[in-house]
Amino acid sequence: MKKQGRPEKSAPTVMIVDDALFMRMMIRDILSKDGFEVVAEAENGMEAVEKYKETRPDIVTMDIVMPEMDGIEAVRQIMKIDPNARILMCSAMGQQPLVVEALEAGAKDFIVKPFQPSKVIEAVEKALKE
Amino acid sequence: MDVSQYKELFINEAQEHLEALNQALLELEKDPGNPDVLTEIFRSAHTLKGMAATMGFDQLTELTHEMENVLDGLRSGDIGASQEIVDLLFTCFDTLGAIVAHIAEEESGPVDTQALIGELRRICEGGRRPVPPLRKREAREADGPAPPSAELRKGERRKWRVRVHLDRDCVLKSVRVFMVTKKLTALGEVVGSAPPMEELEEEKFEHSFEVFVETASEPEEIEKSLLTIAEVVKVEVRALEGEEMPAEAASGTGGPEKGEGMPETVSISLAAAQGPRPSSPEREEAAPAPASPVRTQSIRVNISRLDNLMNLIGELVINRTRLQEIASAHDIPELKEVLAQTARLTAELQDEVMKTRMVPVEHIFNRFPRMVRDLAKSRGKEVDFIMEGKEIELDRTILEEISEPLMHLLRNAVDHGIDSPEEREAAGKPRRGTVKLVAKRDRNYVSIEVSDDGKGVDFQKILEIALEKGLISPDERFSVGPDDVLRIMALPGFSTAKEVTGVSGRGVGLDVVKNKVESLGGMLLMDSRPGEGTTFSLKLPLTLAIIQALLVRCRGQTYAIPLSVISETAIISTHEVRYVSSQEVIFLRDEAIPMVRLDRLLEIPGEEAGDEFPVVVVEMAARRVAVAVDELIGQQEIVISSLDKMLKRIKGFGGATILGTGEVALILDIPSLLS
Repeated sequence: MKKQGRPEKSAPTVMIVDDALFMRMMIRDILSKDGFEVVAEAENGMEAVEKYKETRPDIVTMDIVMPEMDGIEAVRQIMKIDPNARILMCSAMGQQPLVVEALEAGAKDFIVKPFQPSKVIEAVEKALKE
Repeated sequence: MDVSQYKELFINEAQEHLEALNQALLELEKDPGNPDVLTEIFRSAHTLKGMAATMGFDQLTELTHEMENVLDGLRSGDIGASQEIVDLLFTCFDTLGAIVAHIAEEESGPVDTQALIGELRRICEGGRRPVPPLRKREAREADGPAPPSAELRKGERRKWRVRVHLDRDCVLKSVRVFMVTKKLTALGEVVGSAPPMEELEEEKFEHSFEVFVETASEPEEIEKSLLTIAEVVKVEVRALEGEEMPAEAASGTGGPEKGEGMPETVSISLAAAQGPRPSSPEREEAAPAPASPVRTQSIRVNISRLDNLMNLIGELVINRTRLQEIASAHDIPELKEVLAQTARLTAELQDEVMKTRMVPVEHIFNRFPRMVRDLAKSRGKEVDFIMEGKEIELDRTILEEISEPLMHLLRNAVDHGIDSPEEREAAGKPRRGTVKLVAKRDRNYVSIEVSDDGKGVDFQKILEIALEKGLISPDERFSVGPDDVLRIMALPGFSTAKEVTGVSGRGVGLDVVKNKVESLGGMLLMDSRPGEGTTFSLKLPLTLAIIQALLVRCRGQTYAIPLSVISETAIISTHEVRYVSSQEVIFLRDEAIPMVRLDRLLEIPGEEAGDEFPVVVVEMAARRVAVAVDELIGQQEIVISSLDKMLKRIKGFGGATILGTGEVALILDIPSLLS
């Protein structure tokens, strides 16, 4: 059964994947201010896949360009583990083809850097409703 | 949103990225076209761009963006890696560094990037080949799981006109279009759009567009499905009357028959609109999946916190020593027992904090390859730069302090040490010189060596110059050994003799280097062989804050001598003291060692020591000197408190320490005391 909106009792859990600590901090701040619980952070795709297995977050924000394993490959691998995974890609301007590739790989949606907090929240909540 | 709170973090990380970029580019210069290195450069630049955009640093964003275009071209092979491009990229990194520095110091002066951006654009346009129209994999994927789902739908299929409103500040609108058509294809068949699909893909629409879909789904279902897409703010679904189709619709997708080709169409033109990007096989190669590395979890801590922690532990050590003294004075066994435990714990605590302050020398080493390269290039020399022991750790404070001295030594090595390719060939050496920077850990200190295989120091020449400058007397000339050469070269008067450094080969800033190293409690040594090269070694203590010291007494005062400079102690009787040209000398195992009396050195009046007195033999730059004192107290761990600015100018003292008794002892800085 998929979650319908955000239940009051338990905050939705999030994993943040980005190779820049700075970006992770920022997304973490945005999401935790809005009542999400950040349960994991990963700085590359490989770590993301491992931590996904461990923590099974409700939602994942995934950077695309990262060392070790990029975000798109990480989406593929996570989707294999959990076909219901909800992954949001974090893209920079000018990455349309990569975003499309990620969406085809199973990512639910994307947000564009520079992040606006309202948009991040919107995308995360919409993805949770789906 | 307010991003100022992230500024410090941004600057730190941006600088790390710039360092990584410089390093990677140096590697690329050696190995042009190495896809791994290119990918790394690209990735770093890309991350930097994203970070800058988020912080709203437009200049940084713009320059990294243009840079990324060139890097992308390099990666895809559309642009060949030429020296010109490498140089240009180096300049870009420098400029980015300058902008970051501006941001860090909150200067508002503009950094000119326009010329660079022009250059980057020129390269981009010049080098680009036409974009391959379609990536194979995308075609395959698009062919595969398209919409047989449409056929499987039960119920009556009807045509709907779906108007989708996007958020006003939506970027990447074309991807939103892609997502909308993907969702609709899952429900039925997309049969057209307004404006036509090509225009939608090129983002030639304002904030809303219409897609025509044939499906058995209910309007509510369509609306709900589309509203799960971010930045889709409103969806209106109306019935499309009869078979009536807006004229423009057909041109978009080629009509209903070909409706399933939709995602493919989007991908093609998106790829085209974006210019070249690496083809998929290449990208997969560039992102191999090596065995998962073991990562250590880490957090960033402000260095001042660690300093505070270290200071507190210092206080704790003082108190512990004090307690120990009370315990022995009153002979309380229970207290002694607890104190033994406390002593062990504080030692461990101290050790742990010390470790947190240790940073691999890599942090400063990484700045050097670039500098050596640039300098060698500008001097017309061919130099291989080799670094070893980058993982060796040093206290952060020491590390920062020696960055400048190392830079001096490396500059000297390239500028004066390494001979020109022609001279080298004439001397039967390979054209390319080698400069090495090696860090090694040795029990209680770390040694860092800067060596070159150049022409070596011309000792004779140095003596002549020193004589000429009046730095040594003609008498001294004959007593000067090779060990004294460094001392002469590091004399301030010698160093500033700029007009002769080209001949003498050395001396630029050596006094600065020597002073710095010694002020850190370290030593500077030199080994040079004519024709073979020169090696400078810096011997540095692992940490500054707490050291082992020998406590001595002289005229009723307690002094601390760092154990690191002491080679031995001995008891000497007055009749063992000899005189060599009015200098007191003692003999230890047949070695003549000059002796100085601490009371005379410090000019403390009072009675001479008795018949027998202890000496502390200190070792400095291959010279041994015996320091006569009144009494040896013992070895102890001391916490160094630095002297304040007023007192710092007094030579001979490296700081002060508070002893367990509460008494203050000055720490003797032997090298400066004797110079």
